Amino acid sequence: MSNTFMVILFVLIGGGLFLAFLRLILGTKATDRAVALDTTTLITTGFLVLVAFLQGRSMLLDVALVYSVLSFLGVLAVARYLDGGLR
Amino acid sequence: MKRAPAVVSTSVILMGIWLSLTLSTDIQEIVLGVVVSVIAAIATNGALTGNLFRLLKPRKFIAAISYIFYFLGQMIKANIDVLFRVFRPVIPLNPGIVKVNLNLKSERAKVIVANSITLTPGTITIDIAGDHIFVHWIFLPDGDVHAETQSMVDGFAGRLEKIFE
Amino acid sequence: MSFTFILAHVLTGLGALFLFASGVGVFRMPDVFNKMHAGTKATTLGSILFLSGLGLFEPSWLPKLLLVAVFIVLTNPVSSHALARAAHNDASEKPDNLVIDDLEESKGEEQ
Repeated sequence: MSNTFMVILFVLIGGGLFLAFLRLILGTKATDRAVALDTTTLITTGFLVLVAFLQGRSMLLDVALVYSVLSFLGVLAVARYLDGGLR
Repeated sequence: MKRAPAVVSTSVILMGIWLSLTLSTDIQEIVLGVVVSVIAAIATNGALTGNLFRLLKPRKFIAAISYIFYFLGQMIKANIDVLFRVFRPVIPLNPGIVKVNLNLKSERAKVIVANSITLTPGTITIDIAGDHIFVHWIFLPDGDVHAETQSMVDGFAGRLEKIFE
Repeated sequence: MSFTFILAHVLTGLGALFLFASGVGVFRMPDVFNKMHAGTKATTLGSILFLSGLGLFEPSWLPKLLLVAVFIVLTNPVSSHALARAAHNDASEKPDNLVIDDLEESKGEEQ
């Protein structure tokens, strides 16, 4: 993988991550923030795998796997809370 | 013992996940994986995958493969749609929630239809209540909205009926 | 310059583009359901393409990366349904730009 291509990948993923995170901070309503949180965590999973590839550390792949599992559970918990808790 | 095929298919799937996680042919690792996946499959009573052996009949197997390819095609279309919509200076929007029928017996099939609709062009599933499904359109289609949505849902449901029936 | 090498570049590039598009969509779309359209579809296919592309660069990682991709495909629509239901059930969260809303009508019938 050439350096230029690596920079392009970092700019695209970092840009997406930045915009989604900005929406998470600015978001006008609670559900908007929850959707932005979902997107942020998914893009972060891709970012972690890219960093793992760049540094050649396969340990970060396990981190990415566990991160995606925990983010799914976290978003479900937030959605359940916004829906009025366990009725 | 009625659930035995489901338990066996769940433990086979879990064993596959174990092998792709460990990536080793060491005898200790494999024995540990078999023990853990069989215990997990018995504890969940095979509810994770259901009976996958029914898919081994050639007709159903072909139906399942063709469903996967139909779904992947729809998903690529959906993403090109999102890509062109997101970068417009003014995003074209005409949203609405439409209620249509979903005549499937199996609960698992209903879940698959709902998830597929969420990942295909311009639509997400909001809720399922009994035999009805509520679909949100980002841009409502021209003409009769309910008929268009019904034909889109039936495209998935008809293909899934051949697998589940 | 083998075929796999070129394919890996194309897959990772397209995947990164879709992930960027999902970020832009979540930032620009006006209300929660439309944000969900960008945030669910584009991240799912973007993750599949990006992870399988990196798997082609580093073939020994491919099984684990495909496992992450399959997990994302299975779980992403589920969390999106949960959020959509929560957004629709709460009157103060619900957007007011819907042209048709059959779900609201059927809720009225039940009560």
